[in-house]
Amino acid sequence: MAGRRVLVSGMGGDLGSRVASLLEAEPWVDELTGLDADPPRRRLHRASFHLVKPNEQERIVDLVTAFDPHVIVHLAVWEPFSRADPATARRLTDEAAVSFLGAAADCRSLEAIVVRSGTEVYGRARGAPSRPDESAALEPTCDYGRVLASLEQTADSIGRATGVPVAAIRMGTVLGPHVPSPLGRVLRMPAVPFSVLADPPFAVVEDIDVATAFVAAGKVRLAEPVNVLASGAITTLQAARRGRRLPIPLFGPEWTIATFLSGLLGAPVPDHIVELFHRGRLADNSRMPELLGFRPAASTVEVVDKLYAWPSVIHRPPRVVAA
Amino acid sequence: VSEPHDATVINLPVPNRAGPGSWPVDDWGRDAGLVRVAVRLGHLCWQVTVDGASHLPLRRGALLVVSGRRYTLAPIVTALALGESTGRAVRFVGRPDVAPFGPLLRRLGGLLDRPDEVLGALRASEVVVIGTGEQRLVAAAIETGTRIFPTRTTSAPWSRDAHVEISPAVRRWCGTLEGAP
Repeated sequence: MAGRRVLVSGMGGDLGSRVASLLEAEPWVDELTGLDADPPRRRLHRASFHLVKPNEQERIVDLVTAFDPHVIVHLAVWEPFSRADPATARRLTDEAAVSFLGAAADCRSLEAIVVRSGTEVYGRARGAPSRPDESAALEPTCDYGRVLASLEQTADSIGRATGVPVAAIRMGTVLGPHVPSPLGRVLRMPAVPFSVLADPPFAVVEDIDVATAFVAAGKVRLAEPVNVLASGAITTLQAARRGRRLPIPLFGPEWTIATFLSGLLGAPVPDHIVELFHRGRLADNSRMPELLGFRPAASTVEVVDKLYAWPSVIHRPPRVVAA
Repeated sequence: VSEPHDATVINLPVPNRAGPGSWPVDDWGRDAGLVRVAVRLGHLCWQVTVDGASHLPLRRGALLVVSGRRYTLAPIVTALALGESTGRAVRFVGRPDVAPFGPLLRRLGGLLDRPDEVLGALRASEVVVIGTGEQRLVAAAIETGTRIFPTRTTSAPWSRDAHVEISPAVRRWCGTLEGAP
């Protein structure tokens, strides 16, 4: 088991650099390298890093095949309105999937692929299971869900072609102090809209717990999807009340205005978050301890409480250098 | 100087000062605070007595199949009355998935009329109530090895009294179907 080479795509993001820092502490990881369009957001001691854009396919293939990893952790996924608008996020995610997973097919030592996915892949159509488990059909009803389902499909087909086990980490909405989360931004606004007719429950997960899940999946060579969510659930109204925000009850048509205003105020709301507000987003996480051997440390309510406990951005005037 | 000794910290219940809509929900979206309100309101109309609750397991899951015609409130009334008498979160099957009734019934413990929904709840050792017209959902109990309890409900339109009687489990599931190839 020891002496394994691990490649992390998307190491520059908060989640990627968290996963990398956890992998550095794993005794089974011998060499660790990462690729991303942005440099890592935390100090890494053992890992090497290559600055590369997702559309530089030939360079990515060269770097990946030269490293010849045993495990690929594919985190190069852009959530709409986290760091890019929905169209750009979709394009970057698709390009990264083609480049990294395509390169994986040429790696002779490859033993496992772990890809980032989300509970958005299940979809929230009327009559769909309200708490789907991993065996539920993938019927996404939002853009982000379709992108993630397509990513899982690509990874599965490469895994079948190469005989390598593929694990999909279907995580709930990730919140953390440095995670650029559209849901986190909306919930931290002074006034939070909620659906007065439904106000459905949803579950989230803390970034450190998701990072632990990726490391565990790579370690055990997981060969199936797993839902990774914190225990418990919360509704938008409850979250707003816990954060002492002003809840704004909305019925239906005014959601368009609310999302537009939210975008103007710096918290654009992508369609998968609008869907979460209207239809909720839960998933059955009961297989997570069995498959990954761990339970998230923080419950959904605790993660939301932490969201409101983070300090706001403090603007300080620039220091004037004395002449 | 006093001797060092082990201390036990007891977290006393803090009164919930939040209003309706902001009470906590569980993994399925059931709102225990709203259920308490619904039970109190229900006492204005009905006086439901529950017999045979001792047959139910203390912690493991159970599937209760209640008598009653389709589209009656028997599963909901049974779930609320049983939840009050046992203190467990009891769920019922058959909520619609349309606002506002669907979300409201979800807060009261409603599950969708889907085998996978019931399967997930039973796998998590929940107590689930279904009507007799939902035989296809019984497969979920068989798959999870959950015991099934036939339950009789009686009420009369001219009386406030209603009665829920839980019978012993029909059989203990041993993992294989009798007579199966």
